[in-house]
Amino acid sequence: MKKLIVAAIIATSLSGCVLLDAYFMAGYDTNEYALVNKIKTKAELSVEDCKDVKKSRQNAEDLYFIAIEMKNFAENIPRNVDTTKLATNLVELTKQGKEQYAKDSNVSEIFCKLKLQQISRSAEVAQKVIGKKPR
Amino acid sequence: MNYLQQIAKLYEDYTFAYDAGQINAAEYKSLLEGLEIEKVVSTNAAELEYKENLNLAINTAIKAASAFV
Repeated sequence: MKKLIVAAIIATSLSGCVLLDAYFMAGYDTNEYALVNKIKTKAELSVEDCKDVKKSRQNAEDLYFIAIEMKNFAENIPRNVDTTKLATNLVELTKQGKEQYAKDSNVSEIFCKLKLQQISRSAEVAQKVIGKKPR
Repeated sequence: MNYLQQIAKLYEDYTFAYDAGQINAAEYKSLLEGLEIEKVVSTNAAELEYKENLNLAINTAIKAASAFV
């Protein structure tokens, strides 16, 4: 009975759109989770290469590629707008790193580390919620 | 330290690195733009988590209601 009361409260206090959005939201997807995990892992491991500008440029391009791959994968799954937003954020973040290497031949080691930390943190935040999507 | 406090701390760290000449102006700008995106990531993740919790609540309520049908 208690649960029915809770259900009634939820149903009457939220708009129909929010309820429908939540009820029909896209479920957990292994590929989506694997891609965000790949971004996080690649960003973590790339810190070791920050002394080498050539390797770091390649790592920045690779991260951008994986983020685009994730966005392309997520955006055509129905009712998956929130994950698509997160993937788009990761694309923007990785693009910033890639662009810095494209316009500067002498990117500093500390910038490399700090940008990779930004990507890693954001990917982790995204990974936590993507992993909790309904099965 | 919550996520937004962490971002405020990072802003201080980046400014310190710039003032100390460890990063140049373009790198500093890129890092600050990155912080802006981190804030958006945090908001978007919270929205998704809200829907996930709501989805769970709806399904639990439906199961409970089904027991009476």
